[in-house]
Amino acid sequence: MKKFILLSILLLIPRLAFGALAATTVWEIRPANGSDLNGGCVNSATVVTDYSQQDAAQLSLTDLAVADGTTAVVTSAAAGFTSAMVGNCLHIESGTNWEPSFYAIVTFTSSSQVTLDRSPASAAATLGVGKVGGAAKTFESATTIDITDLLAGGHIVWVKNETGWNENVLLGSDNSNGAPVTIEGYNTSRGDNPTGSNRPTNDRAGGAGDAFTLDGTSGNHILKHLIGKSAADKGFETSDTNSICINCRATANTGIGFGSRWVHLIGVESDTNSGDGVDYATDQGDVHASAIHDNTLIGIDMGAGGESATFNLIYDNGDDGIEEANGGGKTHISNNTIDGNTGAATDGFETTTPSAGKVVTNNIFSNNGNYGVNATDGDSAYSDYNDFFGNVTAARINFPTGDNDSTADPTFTDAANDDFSIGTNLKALGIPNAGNSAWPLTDGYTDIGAAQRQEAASSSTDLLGVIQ
Amino acid sequence: MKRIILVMLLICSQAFAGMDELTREKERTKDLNLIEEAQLLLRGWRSRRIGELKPIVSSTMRPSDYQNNFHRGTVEHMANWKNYSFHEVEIPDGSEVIGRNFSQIATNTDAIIRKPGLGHNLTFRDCNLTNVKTYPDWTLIGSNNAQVDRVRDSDEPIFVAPKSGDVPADRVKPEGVLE
Repeated sequence: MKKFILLSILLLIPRLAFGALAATTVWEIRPANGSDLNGGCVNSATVVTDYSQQDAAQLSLTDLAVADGTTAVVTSAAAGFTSAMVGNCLHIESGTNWEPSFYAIVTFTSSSQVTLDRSPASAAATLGVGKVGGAAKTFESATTIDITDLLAGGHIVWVKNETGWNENVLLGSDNSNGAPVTIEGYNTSRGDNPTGSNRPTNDRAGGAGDAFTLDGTSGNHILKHLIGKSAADKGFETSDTNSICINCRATANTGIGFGSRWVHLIGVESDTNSGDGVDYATDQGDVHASAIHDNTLIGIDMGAGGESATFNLIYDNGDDGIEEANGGGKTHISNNTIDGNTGAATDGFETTTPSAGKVVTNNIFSNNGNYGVNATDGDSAYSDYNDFFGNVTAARINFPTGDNDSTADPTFTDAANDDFSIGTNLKALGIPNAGNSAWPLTDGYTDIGAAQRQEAASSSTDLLGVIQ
Repeated sequence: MKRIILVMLLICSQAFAGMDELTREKERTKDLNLIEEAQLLLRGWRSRRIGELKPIVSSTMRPSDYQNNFHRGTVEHMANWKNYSFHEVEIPDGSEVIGRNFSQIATNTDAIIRKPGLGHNLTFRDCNLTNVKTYPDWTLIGSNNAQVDRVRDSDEPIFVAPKSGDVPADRVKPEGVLE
């Protein structure tokens, strides 16, 4: 009897419509002018006319009906469907026996009948409320099933730069190798690669939680051109595996800017956060071509080893520029400018007793509160072609001096106002350089530090492509 | 007589302790005055001069009222410095400050000096005011005034309230919270 009752209860519980949309689904979010009732998405492989890229819904209905709980055929006496709506999403929001979710229109039969990609109800249903077209407003606020519940490998979410975006975006195990979920901000038209304040800003206004939480065990999220601001925890919480943030900014968050494992950061800015700028607590990640500054704690807190930090500006943080509390392993720290990190015991780079495999080259360690590099026992590291200038206690302690290290003043153009381009003192002193035997046919040179002078060393005309 | 010898020994030992700091600081700062040299000898650091940057706290130079890493003493607001974490800051009345970090270790901390001519009618735009106590004559625009507890050896802030005024005056902090 108990089993019968249990089975009955299970059958009575409405199914939640998590069913998968196609991998070619494209979403549109407009934080000010969209609506959580709108259609919000299209199947880019089948769409006839994309009605998601507009503020208002193209069609709103309140009399949707299905014959049973298995059919995908939806009817409406009020009608209004058109053949141009094929490929658009019908967002069913409410109604008895309906399973509120986003469905793609697969087939147009008549103005009063379409077929969806899957059954939208648990039983025969009438008076369903739904909309076709119009941008969504948020990731998380649609009733019952929201956008992040439905994201799957291959999906693209476009977020328009509009005011009023404030939510903890929760990204779970959405995807698989080869099919990432891409979330990309734009200013006025998709793909316009916005910078500065033209990027969409998720402003948490001191609200609890993160701005973005990537906590899937299966990662592969790509986030582009987004700002996470003023969260009471992290700007970007990245527990995903193999996710990438490009041209994103974490600013004025109470916790860490970007953390805490696996993520690859390219061209990001992490600033004025109350925690670390970037924190890889336990696992690998890398930071490239980024600016990490004015955070309350450490600029980049490296974890168990395997991380890299290259071509970054790391300055004016309230703790070490880069820290490896456990010594780390095969970390690679090259061409960073690590300047002015403030505090009585604050170093440019602090480590313990690293294992062999650590490489520290071409960095500027300048004007830090304590040492340029402070190690417990750093003899196993390879360190050379670095510049040490103006570090208050000393250039280094327990860390090897490279044959090609410099103590010259970098003569930054205007470090107080964040311009770290260098004068001529460190010009062409990095590796590779004109004497690099591994590149016999390629002429060129590298400056020490993150910002390169982009000019020939002498009579050189053939500069190094990427590094220059 | 014993007391005098003890005092002299104490002075000598302190002076010796600060000799390295004095030597290092002399290399960095060529124009040290006698008071600063004495400070370096006696306590290992000299008081920061107004306007000193890069950094504003170091092993041998700190604000005169520096206590520890979470209470770094008073500095003046500067046009070209953004990070005032754990400092008390002097900002002239009526100022608008943009994009600064004023984070504090404990909830409802008086981080901005308020006395005649300082700290009144301020506007904070896009600032980090985590754990800063705010006042009715201030205007906050796009700024983070979250109030959180922090405990030792954890990077995770413990959320208390979205803004300063939401923290109950009679709140009892949990054991282990940093002050």
